[in-house]
Amino acid sequence: MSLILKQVFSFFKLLNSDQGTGQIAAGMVCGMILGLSPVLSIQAILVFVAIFLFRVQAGAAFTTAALFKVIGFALAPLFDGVGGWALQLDALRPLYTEVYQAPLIPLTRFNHSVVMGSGIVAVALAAPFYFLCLHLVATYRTQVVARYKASGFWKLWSGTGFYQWYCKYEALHG
Amino acid sequence: MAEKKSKKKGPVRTEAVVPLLVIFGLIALYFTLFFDWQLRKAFEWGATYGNGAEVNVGYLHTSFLHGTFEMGAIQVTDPAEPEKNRFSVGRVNLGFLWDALLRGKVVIPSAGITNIAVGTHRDHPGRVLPPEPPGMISTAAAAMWRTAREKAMKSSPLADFSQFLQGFDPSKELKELKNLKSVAKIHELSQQLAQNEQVWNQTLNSIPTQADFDRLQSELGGMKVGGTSNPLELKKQADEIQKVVSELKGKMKAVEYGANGLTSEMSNFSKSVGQVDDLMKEDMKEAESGLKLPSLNPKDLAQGLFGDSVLAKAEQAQKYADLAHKYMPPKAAGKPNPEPAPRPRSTGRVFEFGKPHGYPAFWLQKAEISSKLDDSNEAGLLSGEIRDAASNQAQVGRPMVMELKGEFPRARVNGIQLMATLDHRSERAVDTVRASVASFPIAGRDLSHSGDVSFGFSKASGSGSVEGTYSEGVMRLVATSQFHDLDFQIKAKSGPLESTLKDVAKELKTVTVKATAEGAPPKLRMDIESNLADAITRGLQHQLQAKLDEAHKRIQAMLDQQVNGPKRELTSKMDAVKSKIFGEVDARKKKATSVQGTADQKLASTKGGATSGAKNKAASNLKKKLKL
Repeated sequence: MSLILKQVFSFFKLLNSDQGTGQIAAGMVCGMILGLSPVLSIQAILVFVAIFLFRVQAGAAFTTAALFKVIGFALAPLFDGVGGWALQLDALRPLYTEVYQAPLIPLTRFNHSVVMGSGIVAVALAAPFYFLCLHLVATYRTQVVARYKASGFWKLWSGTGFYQWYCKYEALHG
Repeated sequence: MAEKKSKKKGPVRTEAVVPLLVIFGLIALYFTLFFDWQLRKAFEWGATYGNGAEVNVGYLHTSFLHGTFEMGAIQVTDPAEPEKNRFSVGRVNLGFLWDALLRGKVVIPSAGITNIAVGTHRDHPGRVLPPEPPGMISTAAAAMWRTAREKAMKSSPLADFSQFLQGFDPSKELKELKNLKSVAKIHELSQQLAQNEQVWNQTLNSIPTQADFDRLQSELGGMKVGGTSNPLELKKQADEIQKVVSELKGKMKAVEYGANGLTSEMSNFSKSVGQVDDLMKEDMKEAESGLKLPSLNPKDLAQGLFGDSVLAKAEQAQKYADLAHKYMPPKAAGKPNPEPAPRPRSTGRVFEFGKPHGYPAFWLQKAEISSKLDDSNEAGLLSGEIRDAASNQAQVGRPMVMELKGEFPRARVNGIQLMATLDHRSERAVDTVRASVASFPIAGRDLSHSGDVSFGFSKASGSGSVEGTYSEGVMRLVATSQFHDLDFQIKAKSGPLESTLKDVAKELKTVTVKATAEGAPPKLRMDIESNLADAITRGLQHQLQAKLDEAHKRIQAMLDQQVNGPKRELTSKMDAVKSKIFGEVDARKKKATSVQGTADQKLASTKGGATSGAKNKAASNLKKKLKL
């Protein structure tokens, strides 16, 4: 848990810096897919491992996953409709029949209407969501962080002894 | 001081490999140390809620590598006797096919259920859960079953007999008859009569009156008839009379038309008054049903004595059948695989894409049930098997079959035979079950228990069989039971009832019950026959019939008292109105007839005058010609 919390805090730190925009966006995309996948499914485990193994921002991924888990519950009827429609397409029935009997693939639970629906939505939104995140992070840094750092309150706060002490502690211990 | 140049990091986070391995290691450790314990507790918790009393599982082992599951020392508490088990199972072992597990399916090629015992004593009494409150009933079907059973339990014919024989006074029970339909109808008709009387009077005023006919009479009286031999004069007189006559005929016609209308309306009103008698019969029936007069029908009595236990069995059968349909849905029309069970949209639907020779989502290919007598003699001698319990029978191509036979000598349960077939391969699923028990002990059974009468037996031996089918939501159940070596327990406040029941108990060596049930509440048709009900009805027939006749008479008298007064008042008022209206109409008709008579006489006179005038003229002309 402390590992995940540490990643979340580092996400906010990185968000407020001027580095790693791509890592944050990639992490948020992974988080969206993780949040929309059922917890006990092979695709969730794969995304989880990918978040750890590849240099995407894990904090961004877990924060976004938590957010999309809530959104997923709210949109379950929509996913059920999309997934039900896809699973009842006659043209795809032979493919479904084949993969239903294949090893491992059924462990994705693709034959469940909500899982299939959320999977389709997640894959379809992955690329647009990545670019949207890049844009949002950049906008956040220019519109919110820069303005905040230029404010009188921040100047006053950053001049305090406590803040100086914290910066020194952060530089030494990370 | 030269700054240390940081090495550029690649896309793979190599430093995360160790934490990831640690995470997987912890997961493996959890499954090794805690998973079995947690699964056992979860199983106990779920089974306890399903059973309504404590369920214990002695041990549970799973192995992912070997694909096995094993649990044993299962004790299922009997909610009615918490110090005993309903049944206990020594060992349950399942082996899963890894090939199927990799495909996300559960296929069990062989399973074993061994050392089954019934009625064994527990080390400590099992915890019994409180009964489900009425508001917590999970489904509409369960609520309907509960309503049907509550109705059956409320019906207590023996208690009704007892109260009735102890001295039944309808006037005390009814106190006063309220909301009688017949009285309400009389009030309605009284108001209608008042309104009708006005309408009828208006009709009476709209037709020619006595004065009209008097005027015509005086007109006719004033006419001078005869007194001349001039034919022209005579014709003029006749024309004047004829004019009055035609006016008279018009008025007579109007009177006749009005009279006919009034006759028809009054006849309709009389018919409405006649409906009061039918409503009195309905009031009588309702008053009797409110009093719960006991029925002397043996089938009603049998239903009162055994209805609840038959309903309990039927409800249980339907519950199992519904479960089977939920988890083994029949093939959908025109589709190769079963239609996914409808669920709330948010929980989604599971589609199956089975193909021949593939695995269904769940398939228990064969489970052997075997149990042998042990030293303690607690276990039963059982043998049987369950075959092809599958979530998609159309794919498997075989129905689920369950066969069991054996006995529990210690519990004195012998000759158990069970054969159940759940065929969900086609669109029309058919479940059939045949079960019988050659003998089993009955510790005690209340057939009727109330403050007035307690009837049942403290011990008996029983045997029974049941045959049932369930298809397209319709259940058909035929159950027969025989009870012998009966030790009746009889207590009734009514002396005649107690002695009758005691006589019946002496006479009957075996009690037989045959019950048939078809459908489901609220459209459940149940028919129960029992020689016990027949014997009790015969015994009570004479006493009850006399009392029933007396009760009918007294209720009729109470009803007459309330209805006859207003009814008499209504009919006398109606007769008065009738006689007034028709008296007036008759008087007018009579007057019209009298005027008609006068007119006819006058016309005859004019014709007579004309004839004699013509004769006189002809005679004088002849005399002139003959020159007489």
